[in-house]
Amino acid sequence: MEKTLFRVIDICKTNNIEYTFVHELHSNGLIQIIVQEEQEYLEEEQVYHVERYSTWHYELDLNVQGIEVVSNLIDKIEDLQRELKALKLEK
Amino acid sequence: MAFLDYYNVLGLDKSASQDDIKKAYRKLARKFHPDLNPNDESAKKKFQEINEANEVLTDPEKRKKYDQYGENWKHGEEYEKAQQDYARSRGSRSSGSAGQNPFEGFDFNNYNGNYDTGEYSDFFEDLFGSRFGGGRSSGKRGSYRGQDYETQVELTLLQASQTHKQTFTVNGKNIRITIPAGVEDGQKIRLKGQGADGVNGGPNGDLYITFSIKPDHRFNRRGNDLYTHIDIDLPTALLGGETIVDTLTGKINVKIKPETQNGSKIRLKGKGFPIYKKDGDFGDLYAEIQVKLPTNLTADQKNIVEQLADSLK
Repeated sequence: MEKTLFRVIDICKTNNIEYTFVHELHSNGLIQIIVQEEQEYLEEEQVYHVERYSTWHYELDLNVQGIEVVSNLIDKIEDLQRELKALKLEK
Repeated sequence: MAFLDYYNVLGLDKSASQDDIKKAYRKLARKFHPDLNPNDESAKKKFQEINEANEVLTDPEKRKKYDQYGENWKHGEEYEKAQQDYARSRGSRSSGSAGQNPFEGFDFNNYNGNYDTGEYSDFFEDLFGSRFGGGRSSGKRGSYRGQDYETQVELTLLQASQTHKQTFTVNGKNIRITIPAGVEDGQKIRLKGQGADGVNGGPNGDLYITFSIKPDHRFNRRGNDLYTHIDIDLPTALLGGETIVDTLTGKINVKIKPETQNGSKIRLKGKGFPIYKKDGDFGDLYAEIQVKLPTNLTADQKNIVEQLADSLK
């Protein structure tokens, strides 16, 4: 299935995000940027991540390292919540 | 929406500075932000309260009203206006001097004037709805909410003063909207579902339109009031007379009182900007008088001015 790609510059513009912030997320392995014909793109799921991380960065004042820590902890919380739900259903 | 003590919500007292508010908001937002508290309804509710408190207390105008009227702050302006109208009708200069307060027992909670009680909640629904929805619809992996679009629409002051329709294209999609008279510079509206299409059954994103109002060479807008200048000659300033003032809807004749000072303002009630979503209500137009002094005076004229100067000593 063909994936929808969004140009990084468009995402920065529509969300009022600094281009360098998106690159910093990429450098820290938090998102993946795809380069095609010298143009940088994000897949739709990556756009969701960029929007989410930018909220944390600009509204909660978290730096990229903080975002990484929080993101990992949230993944763990969600895993535990799923596990808990499954265990409750088993009972 | 139930009354919230915004200071209490942020753990502050009334003397808190803007910096204190910002710090308290950031600290609490980091703790209760829904993104950081997945599937936690109580955190979500708490965050809504924090955000509401922050929205009001960081806006000096809203904070002033909130401090003054507390629970009834959203109706404070109406209360003031009604009180002023009453004072005027009694020929009193101050609202308190009438002796009897006609608003005693006035129940703001049941007040159903121009302030829609749902308006503020809608505002918060706008603010939180898309964010709390996140990019992902609940429980259905691979289903995404469409991307929000943002665009800017530039209007002249005259266009912003009239309710009109505009068509524009956003990401290949033609959209026609009605722009109500009275929109403000920087005002943002949300068109639900007009953003990118959702993926795998996810909801569409929203379209956010920010209005940018171009400066006008004749009028300065401050809120719903307009400010302009009018030039009058020296004899009119001294002896009084009439002059023509440009308004948004045409020209009107205005009387100038004798001995009008340079820089004084004339208030033309109801000749200002239309009030957003209040049909038939307008702000005021303030015209600042600029007295143009005559140049190239003849010897006779100088003589007359000298005589005048002597007589004024």
